Amino acid sequence: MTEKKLSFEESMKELEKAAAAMDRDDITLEEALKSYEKGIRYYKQCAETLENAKQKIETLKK
Amino acid sequence: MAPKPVTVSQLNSYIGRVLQTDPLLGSVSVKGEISNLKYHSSGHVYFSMKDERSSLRCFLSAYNLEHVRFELEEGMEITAAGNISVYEQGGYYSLYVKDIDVTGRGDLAAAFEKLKSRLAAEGLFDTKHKKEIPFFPRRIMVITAATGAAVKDILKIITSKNDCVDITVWPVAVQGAKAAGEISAAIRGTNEKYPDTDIIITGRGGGSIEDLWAFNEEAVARAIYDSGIPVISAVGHEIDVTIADFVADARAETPTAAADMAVPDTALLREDLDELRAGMLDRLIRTAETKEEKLQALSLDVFARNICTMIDYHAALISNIRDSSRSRLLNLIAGYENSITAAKSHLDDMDPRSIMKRGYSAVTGKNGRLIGSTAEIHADDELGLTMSDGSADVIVTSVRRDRR
Repeated sequence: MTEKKLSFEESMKELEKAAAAMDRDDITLEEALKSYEKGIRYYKQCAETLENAKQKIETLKK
Repeated sequence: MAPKPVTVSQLNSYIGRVLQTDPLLGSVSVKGEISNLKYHSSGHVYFSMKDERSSLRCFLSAYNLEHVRFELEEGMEITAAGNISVYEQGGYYSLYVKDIDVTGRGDLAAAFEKLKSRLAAEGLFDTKHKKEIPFFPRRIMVITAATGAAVKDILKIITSKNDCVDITVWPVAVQGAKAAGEISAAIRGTNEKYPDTDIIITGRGGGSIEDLWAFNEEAVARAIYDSGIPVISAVGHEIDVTIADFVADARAETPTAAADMAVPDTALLREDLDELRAGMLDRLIRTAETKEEKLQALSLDVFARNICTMIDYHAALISNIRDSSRSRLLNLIAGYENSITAAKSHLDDMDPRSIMKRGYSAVTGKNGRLIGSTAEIHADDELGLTMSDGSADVIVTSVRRDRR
């Protein structure tokens, strides 16, 4: 399955969704594991974005 | 002697040449009040300028109108720059206007209101056109003066909050006649040359209404409206409101506020992310533990224990039922025994032998039947006598029947 590259915001939302899904009391262990793996995937995407961005500041010539 | 007569055309043409060559009239600046303002369908504008005593015809071409920074209105106090030229067919002169400045402060407010209502009517301020400011921008274009408080504030705030976003500064004049042109060109240029820009911030620090005027010009408003990239306007102080603010996708009260709203705090984001991850792990472990407890509750030992308890319970139940049935049976038997004893004693009472013991005898015929009446016997009949201790054969000698 190919997943299209999500924006940071979308990844963050998916991560929050996965975390919220795990809060259900009737969740099965399998579902919890799946949600966790999914959440970690989005977590990594977000974390990579934050770690890999090297801020550049430039002023254009007039 | 009167000079040689000339034609009207010749005279008007001559006057035209004279006025054209006059060094003063070739470049003149005139103060006055606008009257008889007419927008022609060709795009040219015709009006008069007047003071208390006099009036001057004015012509503003569609081309020059584009460079006028104000909406014109009847009664507005202006300074118009241009040259005097003769309209030969009509035989009158006009001021060919190149540029207009508004002089009265109240007139600036009027120009502002006029443009505002025109653009509003056109729908440029409609919220349906407003684009959302992206939550996590990768690149921000800052369109403002290269030096000055605004650019410093914006860079300071963004870099203190966010260490990911790229910032490009597109330096422009933010006041004066050229400002609106440069600002709108920069906004359009960002869309064309830097399409990966996520947010445009355009603005400047505080100043007088004249200083901020570029942000009240139609060219800037149009460029902001046409921008595919979301624009945050950040002009002056809290109290300054410009046309750019109305048309922008978001209005910041100051450049500092614009910088603050444009970017998320990356340190907080990292914290949030780590918290989310830790929370998920925690939750996963807790879920696993809960499931383990449930599994333990299902183990064979517990199952066996549960079964034994069930068996004991049912055994007790059965034993109770058995005990109670036995006692009920015994009661029944005792009851029957009592009735049998009673019946036996009753039967004993009825035994003829016990009567015989008291001295009575039974009389029987030849066939052994009991005879209970003298009507059945006659003299010489042979009868039997049964007593308690034996029997005898007798012959009837006589019969006496009692009278009834």
